[in-house]
Amino acid sequence: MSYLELTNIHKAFGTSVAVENFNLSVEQGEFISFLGPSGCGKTTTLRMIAGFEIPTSGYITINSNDLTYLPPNKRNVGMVFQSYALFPNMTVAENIGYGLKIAGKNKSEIATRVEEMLALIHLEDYGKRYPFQLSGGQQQRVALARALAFQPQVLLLDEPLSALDAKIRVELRMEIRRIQQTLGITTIYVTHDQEEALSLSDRIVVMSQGKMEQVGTPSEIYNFPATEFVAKFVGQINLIPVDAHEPEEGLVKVGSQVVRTAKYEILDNKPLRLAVRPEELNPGHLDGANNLSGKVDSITYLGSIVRIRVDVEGHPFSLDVFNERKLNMPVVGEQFQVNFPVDACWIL
Amino acid sequence: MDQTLPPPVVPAKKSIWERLSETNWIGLVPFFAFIFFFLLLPSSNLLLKSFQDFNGNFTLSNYAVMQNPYVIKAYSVSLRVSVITSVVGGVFGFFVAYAIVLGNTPKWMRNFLMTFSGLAANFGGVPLAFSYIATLGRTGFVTAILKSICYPDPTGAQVCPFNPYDNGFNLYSMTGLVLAYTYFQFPLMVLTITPALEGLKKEWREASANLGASPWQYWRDVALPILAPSILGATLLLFGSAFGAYATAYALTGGSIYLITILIAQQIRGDVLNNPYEGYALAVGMIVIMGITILAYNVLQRRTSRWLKS
Repeated sequence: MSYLELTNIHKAFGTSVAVENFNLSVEQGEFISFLGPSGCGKTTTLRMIAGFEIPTSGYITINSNDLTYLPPNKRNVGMVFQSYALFPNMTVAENIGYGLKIAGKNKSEIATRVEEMLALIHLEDYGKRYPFQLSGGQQQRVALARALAFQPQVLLLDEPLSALDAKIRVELRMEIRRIQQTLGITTIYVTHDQEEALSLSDRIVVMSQGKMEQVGTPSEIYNFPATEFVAKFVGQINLIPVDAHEPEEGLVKVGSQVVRTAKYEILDNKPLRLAVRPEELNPGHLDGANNLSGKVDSITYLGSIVRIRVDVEGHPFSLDVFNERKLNMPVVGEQFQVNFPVDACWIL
Repeated sequence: MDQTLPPPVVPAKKSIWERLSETNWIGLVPFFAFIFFFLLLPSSNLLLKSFQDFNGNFTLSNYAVMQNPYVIKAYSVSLRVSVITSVVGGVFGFFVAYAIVLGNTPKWMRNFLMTFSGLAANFGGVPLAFSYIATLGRTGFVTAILKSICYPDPTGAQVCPFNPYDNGFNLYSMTGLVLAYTYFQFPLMVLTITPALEGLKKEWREASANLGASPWQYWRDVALPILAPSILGATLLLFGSAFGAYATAYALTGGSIYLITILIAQQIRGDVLNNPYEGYALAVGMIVIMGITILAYNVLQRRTSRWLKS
């Protein structure tokens, strides 16, 4: 049995179903992200682990102990909130030591642990400050230290970086990963930011409309999305309606042009879509690869990347190329050839 | 050498909206005029006259009245009534506000309670006193109903044990005064403390529970310390409101309870006592007490807003 188990979890608010048939096994020390758009049930699932919501059915165990109906203050689970939720009437040190104080630890033990935690988050000199005297990033680090100080069994983070600006977000997510690996604590991280999920996690649970769409490593999720939702939600993707040509040979038609992919099946007249990531497409013709010909529709500069949109017989393909000063850019409206490896595309 | 000078900088012409927004402060003129004519001017006049005798000469003798046992008693009764009603109204009002904000009260009930509080907090004076007399006075209709509840005792004689006046209650006493004051004090507390209760973040409660705290520990360690300045500030406001009340007490007790406001009125009106200058000195004493109250309120409010500005 895994360290944290969520078995057949179902949660409804009245007639509205928030989480449906959720099953997940998490190993000790693993970093799992729940990734999905707003309202997909990821925060509700996290709140059920924390005890702020009770599942309508199903059960949750940590280390083989059933805590489905245990009140939040008896679970020994640390949580970091999006809005930091630091107690404004307490100093940084008092905030960090609060869980230990509640647990009845003596003052010297609390002081030692608070010092350790302050060192862990690199805020050694901030113990006597109040939350309003800290920046957003510092407040969130204190919230993290507070959630870890009483040595919880599992750490839960509910979109902890959403309220911070982009630069701090990147710094802090590396900090979170470093601390998680240092302590080896089992962590569940809720986010709608695919970059955060991909860069932090051992495994990602992609959710949509209360259901699990796919569970896998960042590489599996990105490179082998199981559903159209995952393919669209994680990263950019070209999803092009195609006609079946020779399923056994893995051939499809984009307009009049033939593309080879893995062999596929036609199920219940379900429309076929060819999926290929923009970074897999290259300009020019390449023997042995799939080659398509079209017209340049638009060119968009995205900093380090330039996205070229090519119209292939009415089907828009985006391709990403690295932005180099010497790059010879095509002109909008001119004929353009693209190629991509056979194993870089698949049928959804 | 040819030198092209940059064109002179011409200030951009301001739009009519920009010019209007610069004069928005004009809207405050009626307020400051009101404060000047009805607060600062009378208060200064009061202060000046408290240092004058009947002939307009400077004197400190008006303040000697502070040593008069009646005056000391009047201040003490006023303070006692104010403290009791502010604490009773404060506690009662806090729990009503708690029920409104955190008690899952239906929306229609919240709206009703807030509207009622807005009205009741301003329903003082003679109408309040008469409504109490009409309900709980010796011949009030609630008293009459309670009086009429009679039944035979084991010996067959009729007993009417619910007459409040047979059980020690008297509307025209300190008890009645506290009851009447509480009527406008607790809604004032509801109005003042509701925003503070609404400011308590749900995440604080959840974070404390997550750290192992029970609901009681959350209230003791987090919610009450955060609310304390607001609760104390609101209670001080109630104190000030009760301390300055006159009409309710006078209409209810007819001056039989010696409040400082009633004593001042007697001094200035001249039908019972007649030394308006001593009355002015007593009023200055009240202003000092009210000033301290307002100062304390401001200090406490500033402390809360400092905590909550993050």
